[in-house]
Amino acid sequence: MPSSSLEHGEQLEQLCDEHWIKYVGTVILATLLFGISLLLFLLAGLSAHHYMWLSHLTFFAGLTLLLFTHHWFFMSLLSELLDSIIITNRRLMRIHFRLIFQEDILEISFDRMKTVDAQKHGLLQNLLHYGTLVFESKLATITLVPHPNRVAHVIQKAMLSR
Amino acid sequence: MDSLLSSPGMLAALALVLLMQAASLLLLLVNRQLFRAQSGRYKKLLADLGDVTAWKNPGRILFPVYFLLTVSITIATTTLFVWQPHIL
Repeated sequence: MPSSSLEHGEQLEQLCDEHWIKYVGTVILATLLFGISLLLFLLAGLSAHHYMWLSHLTFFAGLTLLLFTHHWFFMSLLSELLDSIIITNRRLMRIHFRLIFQEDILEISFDRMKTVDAQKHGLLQNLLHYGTLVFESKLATITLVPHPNRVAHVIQKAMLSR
Repeated sequence: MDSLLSSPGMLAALALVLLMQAASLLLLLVNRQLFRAQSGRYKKLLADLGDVTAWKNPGRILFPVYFLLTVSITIATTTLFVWQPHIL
C-alpha cells in the first residue's frame, strides 16, 4: 500500500470503484459451474440405487466442483470489490487486488503526466458509460473507469492546480 | 445410514467428505483474515488521505453471505452423503 509515501498537503479528490461490468464474466462462469455441480449431484441421486460406484464418483465430483466454485466466486468478489481508483490532488492510484495472489498498484503522478484522454469505444461502453483513461499518449492506461469524462475532468483540475 | 460404516471403502469415503468440508471451512476463515488485513490497509490509506468515510467496506454484507452459504453447503452436502437419498 502506498500510504507511506504521502506528500505534504495531499488530499483526496475522488474515490471511485471500477465499473460493474467486470463482475459479469465471473457471475456467468460461476452460474455455469454451479449448474454443472447441481447436475452431478442429481446424477448421483439418480444412480444411487442401481450404480453405487457411479453415484459416489459423481457425488465427489459435484462436491469438489461446488466447493471450488463457491470459494473461487467469493474470493473473486472480495478481491474485485477492493479494486478502486483513488484521485488525490497530487496523483492517481489504481489499486488492483486478488487477495494473496496479486497486488498491483499503479501510481500516476501529476508532476510527470500533463494530459489525460477519456475514451469510450464500442456500443457496450457507450451504453453502460464506462471506458479508459489514457495518460500522455498511452504511457499509462486505466480501464473500466465509470463515466471517464467526469473522472478526466477531476484529474485535469488536479493537474492544473499543481 | 448403516451402509456408511459397512466397509472400509465407505468409511474412507466418509472421511474424505468430512475432510473436504473441514478444508472448506478453513478456507473460509483464511479468506476472512486475508480480506480483513487487506481492507484494513486500504482503510488506513484513506484515513491518511483524510477521508475514511468515502469508502464503505463491502465485506460487511458479503462476508455474512459467504459465511452462511459455506455453512449451508457444508450441512447440505454432508447430510446428502450420510442419508444418500435415492431419486429412482
